[in-house]
Amino acid sequence: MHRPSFPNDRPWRRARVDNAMVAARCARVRTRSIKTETKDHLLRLALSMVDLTTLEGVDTTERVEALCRKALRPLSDRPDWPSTAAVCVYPNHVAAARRVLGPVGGPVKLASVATGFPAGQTPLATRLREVEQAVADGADEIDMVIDRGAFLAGRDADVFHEIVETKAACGAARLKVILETGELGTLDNVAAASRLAILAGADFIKTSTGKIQPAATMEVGLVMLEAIRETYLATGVQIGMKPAGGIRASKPALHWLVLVAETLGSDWMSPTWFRFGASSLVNDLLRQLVRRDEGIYPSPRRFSVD
Amino acid sequence: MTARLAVWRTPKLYIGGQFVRSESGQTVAVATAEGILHACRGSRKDLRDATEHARAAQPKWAARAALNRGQILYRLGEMLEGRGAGEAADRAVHHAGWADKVTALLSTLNPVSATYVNYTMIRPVGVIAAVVDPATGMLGMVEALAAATVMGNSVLLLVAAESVDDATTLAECIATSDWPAGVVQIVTGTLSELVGHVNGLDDIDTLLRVGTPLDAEVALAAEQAGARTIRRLVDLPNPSIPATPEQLGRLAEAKTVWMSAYEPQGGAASY
Repeated sequence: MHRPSFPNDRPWRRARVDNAMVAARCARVRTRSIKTETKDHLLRLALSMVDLTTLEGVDTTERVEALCRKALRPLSDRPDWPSTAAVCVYPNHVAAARRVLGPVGGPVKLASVATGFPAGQTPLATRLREVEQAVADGADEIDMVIDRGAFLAGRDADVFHEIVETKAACGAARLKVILETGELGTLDNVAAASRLAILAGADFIKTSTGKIQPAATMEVGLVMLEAIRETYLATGVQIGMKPAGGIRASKPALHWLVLVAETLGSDWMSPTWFRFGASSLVNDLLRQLVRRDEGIYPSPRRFSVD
Repeated sequence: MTARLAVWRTPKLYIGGQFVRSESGQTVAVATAEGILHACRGSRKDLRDATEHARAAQPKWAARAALNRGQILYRLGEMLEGRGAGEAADRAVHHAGWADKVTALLSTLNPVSATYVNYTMIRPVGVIAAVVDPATGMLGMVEALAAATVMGNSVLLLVAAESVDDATTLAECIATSDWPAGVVQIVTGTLSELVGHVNGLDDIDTLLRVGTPLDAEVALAAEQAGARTIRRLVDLPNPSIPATPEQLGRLAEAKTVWMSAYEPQGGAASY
């Protein structure tokens, strides 16, 4: 497998962001009106893009199994509604999730966080071992965290190296690189980390672990989407995007889709290239869809508690 | 002393502990002795927001000590008294007294012929939408609010635009008497329109009608919607008389508990 080598001129560090323009563009997206029919389509699309996630210390096999069943059929009496894109669990639960989701190639992908999630502060050797184990247990996708301390200290080569090695350990699994933008401080850093991750071999770039606030803000998202756009225009390589953390309602989810469509175009409007890392978002999407279906705004108590 | 210009109150909705304008930006013009008042015309979205706040606030309100809920209702009475609404103040004080007594009246210990302790306790129904006949004035609003909240429910008061002045005074009293945000929301507008919005909301557990606020057609539509969403309909036709404990009981659910009473030493205990 081709392993990219570290570019000594660190091109990503030249990326600069105009904060005021980013804020203005995001503000415009938030006030964009969406027509009713488009909204119907986008709500279903958003549902099909969710990485239904549980990453808690109290996770049990039963909880993970229930989550997988929900991913396969989000609402029991609506079998024709889309399943979510994937479930996302800790490595310990990959095997259990695989049993419920069925063999590789089913409608719902299986993602596992790995590499010492959420801090990324464990030795590289054990992080890689974690990735190998998750893949062996049946993970289709690996969500890795970068060592933010190393990035902020300017040890870019270390970060680059760990992404390259993790990508190699993934084998056929797709690699999502979590930048944890809430800890990067500035949008310039987000722009740099995005480009670094892409050059090192990320298939997806992902905003956050969900354990740190702020998580997936639209400002950060726009900067990352611009990095993806720049890569595509320069090389023709398509990189995926996954905002995660803090997207709990349908309205911000639709704003994200508008942002993606405006920045990257319709090629990215599919679960192959865009995901929401979320859990409670699913119930809100279902709530809006049921409202459109039945004409009554349903109580949140009608949906399962995950 | 210089002549002063009149300082008019801006009528607003009271949702989630905040004075807000209707998200629709629409108002209903009301003629008053001083001039024309523009009451907010509560929209479907306003009622959705109000319901979310009410749902979030209700469990914490119900979990408060009954005495504390009574104290807060009494405090509302004090504030109303200061605004010259004596009759309504008396009503708040009346229901404040029920807070730590009504559960004892409505709960029962049931004799059963088996080795169980069997008792029935009351619990709040949850979120109540109260539609108030404008003819019942401030007293009708306070009766609805006090009856709903003394039982541990949160409430959406749906008030006709013509009562906007009283509704604003009431909201100001609530805002200054230690109510947790979200327990009481006050939404003004056209009653038939507001009830129409409630008909489309699944998350409201009871529709409380105070006085005779709805004409027959609107009332029928509300009853049909109530059947569809499994919503209880409760009437307080004459709020000049305070709701009796039996009427308050309609704003609560009964929960019956069977508890094993087996005693290894002496066989079955008798209760």
